[in-house]
Amino acid sequence: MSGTSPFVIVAGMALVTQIPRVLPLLVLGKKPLPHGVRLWLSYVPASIICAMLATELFVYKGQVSLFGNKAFILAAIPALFIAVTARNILVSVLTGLVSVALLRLML
Amino acid sequence: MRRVMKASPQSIFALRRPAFIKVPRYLVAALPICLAYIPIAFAFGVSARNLGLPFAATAAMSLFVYAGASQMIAIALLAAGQPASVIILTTFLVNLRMLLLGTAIAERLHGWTCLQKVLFGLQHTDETFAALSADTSKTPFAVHRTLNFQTAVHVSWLFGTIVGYQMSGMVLDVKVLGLDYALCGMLIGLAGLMVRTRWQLVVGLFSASIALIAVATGQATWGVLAAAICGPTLGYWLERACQERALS
Repeated sequence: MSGTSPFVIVAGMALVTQIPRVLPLLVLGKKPLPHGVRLWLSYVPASIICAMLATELFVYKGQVSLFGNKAFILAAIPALFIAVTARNILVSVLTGLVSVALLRLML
Repeated sequence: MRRVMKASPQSIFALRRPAFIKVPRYLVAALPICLAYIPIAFAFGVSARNLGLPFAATAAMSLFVYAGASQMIAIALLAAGQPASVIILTTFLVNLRMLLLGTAIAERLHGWTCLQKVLFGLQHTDETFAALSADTSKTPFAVHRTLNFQTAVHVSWLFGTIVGYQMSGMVLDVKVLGLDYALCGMLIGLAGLMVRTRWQLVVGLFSASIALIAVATGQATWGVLAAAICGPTLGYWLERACQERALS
C-alpha cells in the first residue's frame, strides 16, 4: 500500500465521483434541453446497458472470449427470452440465476 | 412516419407482485439490483480486507464513493503500490460518464428541491439510472419513492461490503447459488425493457461491440464511456437520417 492515509484516498475518490453525479442535476433540468440533445440522450440507457452486458458475458478472465464463459452465455438465452416477453426485471434475474446454477451442474 | 414498435412507459415501480406481499413498491423495484450488488460488494469487502485496508476506510468507501468499478480498481491500484494521485485520477476518469447519465435524467427531477436533487445524485449509479430510465413517460419522478429506492440499493451495497469484510476469512462460494450471475441477469432484464425499437437494437449491438473492442485492445477502463458516447451518436444519426428520408 502507498504511504498516503487510506482515508485521504477515500475522500479524494468521493469528491471526484460525487461531483459528476450531482452537478448536472443541479445545473440542468430547469428548462428543457434542445430537441437534438434529447434525441441523442434518449439512446444513452440502451447504449450503457448493452455495453455493460457485453462486458459481463463476453469477457472471461480479462480477455474477450465469445464462448469462454459457457454457463453465462447459455443462461442468457432463457433470461433474455423472459426479459423480452415478461418485461419484468426480477423474473429475468431469477431465471438467469436458476439457469446458471443448473448449467453448472450439467456442464 | 412513426416507427411501428414504440417504447411504452414502463416504470419499475409498476412491476407486478403477488397480492399477498405487502412490501413497499420501492423495495420490489430495488430487489433485483440489490441481488446483483450484494455479491459484488461482498467481493470488494473481501479484497479490501486481504489488502489490509482498515474497516472504517472500506465502509467509508462504499458509503461515500459508492462506485463498483472504481472501488475495485482502487483496490487493484493500491495493491500495485500506486500513489493516491493515480487512484483518484483513474476514479475521476472512470466516473466521467456519470455527467452523461445525470444530464439524461436531470429533467425527470423537475420540481425537486436542491437538497433532494443532491441526495438523488449521491446515490445515482449506472444500474439505478438504467432501472429508472425504464419509465419513458417523460413525467417527473415521485420524490420519496425514488429516493427510497436508491437508498435501499445503497444500503445493500454497504451491507455486502461489511459482510464481505467481516467474513473474508471464511471460504464462501457464491457460484453455488449462481449469485455471481445476478448482475448479468439484471442487465438482461433491463435490456428487455429498454431495447424496444429497431434503432435501439442497432445502437445496443454497436455499443456492445465498442465495449468489447476496448477490452480486446487493453483499454477496458474506457469501454463503457466510449460506448456511451459513440452509441447515442449513431442512434441520433440514424434517426435523423430516417426522418429526412421520410420528409423528402
